[in-house]
Amino acid sequence: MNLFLAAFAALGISSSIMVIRANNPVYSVLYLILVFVNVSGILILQGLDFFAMIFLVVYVGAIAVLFLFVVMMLNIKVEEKQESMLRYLPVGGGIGLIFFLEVVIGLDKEFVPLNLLSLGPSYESEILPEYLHWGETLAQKTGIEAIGQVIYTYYFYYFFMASFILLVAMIGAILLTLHNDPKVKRQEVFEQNAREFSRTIQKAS
Amino acid sequence: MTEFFPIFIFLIISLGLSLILVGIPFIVAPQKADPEKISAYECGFDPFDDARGKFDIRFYLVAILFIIFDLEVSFLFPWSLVLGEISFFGFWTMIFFLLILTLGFVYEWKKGALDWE
Amino acid sequence: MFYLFESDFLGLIPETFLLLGLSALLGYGVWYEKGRESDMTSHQLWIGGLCLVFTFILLCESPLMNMILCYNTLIIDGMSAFLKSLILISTLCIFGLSFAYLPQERIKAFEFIILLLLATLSLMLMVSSYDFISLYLAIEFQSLGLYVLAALKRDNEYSTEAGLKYFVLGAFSSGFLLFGASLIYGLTGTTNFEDLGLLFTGVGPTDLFTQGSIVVGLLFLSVAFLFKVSAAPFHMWSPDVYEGAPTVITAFFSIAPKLALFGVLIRVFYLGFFDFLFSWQQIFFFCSLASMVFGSFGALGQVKIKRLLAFSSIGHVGYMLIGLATGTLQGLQGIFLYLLVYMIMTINAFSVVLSLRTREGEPKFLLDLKNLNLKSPILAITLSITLFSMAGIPPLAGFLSKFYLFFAALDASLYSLAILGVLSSVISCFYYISLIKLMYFHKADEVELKPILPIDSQKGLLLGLSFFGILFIFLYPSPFFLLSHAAALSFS
Repeated sequence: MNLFLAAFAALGISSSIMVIRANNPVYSVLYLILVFVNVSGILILQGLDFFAMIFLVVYVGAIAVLFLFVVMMLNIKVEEKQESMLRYLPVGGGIGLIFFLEVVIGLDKEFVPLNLLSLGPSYESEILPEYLHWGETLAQKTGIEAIGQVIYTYYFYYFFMASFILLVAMIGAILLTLHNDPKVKRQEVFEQNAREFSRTIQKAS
Repeated sequence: MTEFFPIFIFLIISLGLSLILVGIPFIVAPQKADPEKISAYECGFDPFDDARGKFDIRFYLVAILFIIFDLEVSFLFPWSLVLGEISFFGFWTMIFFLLILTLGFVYEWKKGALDWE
Repeated sequence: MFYLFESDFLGLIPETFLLLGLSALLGYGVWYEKGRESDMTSHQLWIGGLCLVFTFILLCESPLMNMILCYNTLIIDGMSAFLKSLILISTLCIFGLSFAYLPQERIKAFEFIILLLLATLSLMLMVSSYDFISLYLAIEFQSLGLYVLAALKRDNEYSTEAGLKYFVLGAFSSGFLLFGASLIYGLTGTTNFEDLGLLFTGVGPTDLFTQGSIVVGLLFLSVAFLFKVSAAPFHMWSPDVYEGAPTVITAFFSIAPKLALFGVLIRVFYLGFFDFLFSWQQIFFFCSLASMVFGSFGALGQVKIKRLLAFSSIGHVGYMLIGLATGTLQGLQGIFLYLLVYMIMTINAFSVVLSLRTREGEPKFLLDLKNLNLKSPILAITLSITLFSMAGIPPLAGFLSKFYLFFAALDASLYSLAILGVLSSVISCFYYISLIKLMYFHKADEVELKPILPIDSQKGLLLGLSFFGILFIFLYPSPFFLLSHAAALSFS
């Protein structure tokens, strides 16, 4: 299993480096798709099969297409050679280092056993909470079922918020991009289908 | 996790097959290129300009609307799987979700975002 | 399952009403829009305004005062009621300003009203949010609508630039918020504010290794929020966005999101992370100082009206952050009072700016204010009183709120912040007074007096009411003290 993880991670990281190093923006987008595929592989290894599916459907199926459209719309031919990479390296590298250290520090730390030793040994029995072993109480569910059981019931609010966000996105996209030019002839499907040829063809006399 | 193993096999096979199909011609096929051979022939002609012209933002709009309904459908999968266990409340939350998105759909239909001219 | 949420829907009646109202408006608008676009916006403004009034009444009459809703994702308390009513009032004022503005600028899209109503809904939900996930969703919901509103005039370069800048930086700060929240979730295993507060109770500065990363998470969270409220080291986007967006939207940007975001800031840091007071106090101390300084010095060099107002709002955010940095209830009350007064002053300033419209269009530059005294003495006196109030000259509303905040800072032993606040408000007096000089004492010889277009009744009403508020809140401030105190008490 670790071998798979290593393979997916290595491929993912190397293709994400290629995303920013490729000269042709279309290649960048294709490498980005490769990154998404690898990440969904990692998600499957974590047991998050539904998220892996969503990742593929949404990111590869839709967002990468949008990226391609943007590249096409901006009409960028070939990006200029990044001769100034060294200029950004200190700042970017510093931020990257901070993030890396943060993840290293944050990994495998738990807040729950609130520094019992610092409070002294006598407090230990009073403070230490009784843990509920969730693993024993729960029935076995797949990830997708587990999501379904909470998101439509207990956390329905989040679900509704998602619908509002999608509604706003719909209205916003149409408002910002749709130009209705009155000069352009449009399809009137109903009228066109309802035309009878006997009424439209007239004898010129 | 093991149920994904066939997919992995499939990936390996498709990767290998495509590599073989691309690789064999490089090795086997005789490559003696001359200007006549690699130029466009029959109905082909040299392109007039770059294939990467700007195009209408309308394509983009269609793609965005696609994403939105894509997401909506992906919310339907878990719902259909657990519909028996989430009682009527869960059923109605999804109906409400769909109603809100139907409102958006009515909006875009009436607005003419889906017509093509 | 329904019995679990039986009374929750009662608590959400105002929001539900607003949602139903705007859905009906959206359907009405899109169905009957063809051929009568300009009538449609005015219909929608009237009905949308009515919708807001009813929501306000429902909010005030709500029998549920303190409640946790929807499986620990939302909360109703004194602060949420106070801020929600301010948000509703400010949106109503924006609607009042839009009656004349939309036809003047030939904005025919009725979606303007729908998006404003959706943004109001999201801001109300944001004030109530009680959990990082609901907070993030509400923030995204709000920002998506506002990005679109900023870029509304899509043929105008400034407006599209504003939309793009707002979008990029908004997405950036949302990413920070997510990163901080996920760090904190990774360390504690909870996203709920109250749970976090309970978990952190009495944490001493012992285990720096675990706590260090919580503090970093906290840092990311506060950077995200400071970006969103445009506090000083993170304020670069706000003048450009304020300048480019349509003016009524600028007015909305400078009021309503700030009301909600300060509510969220207070909820996160006072409820969730109060035991880390000494960590985040320094952040807000520094940012408040920087905002006050940048706000007042940056405004000195401006030549455009909307950019000046943007810098002035950065300065005001700095004063409000003083209240946050105190960590006391008095400071909270000061923030609420300041928000109220800030809302009134900003509404007044923007309605004056919108009233200055001549036949050639909206005034853009400060020089367009030249000799306003001769053109319209009443507008001139209104604007100068508002500017005096913004600068904090004694018998006006702005003085009251600043005074209260500085006293809160002194009580919390933040002497340096209080002193520097006073100093920077003295500096800000410079540019406010230079405007007044421009209006009154500019040489009148080379003027060509372009007549100002007549002011419509809605804007007149707003001007009158807000001017009245600025003048007389100082005489009888006790109801406002009581309101803000009630709001602050939900954190006692």
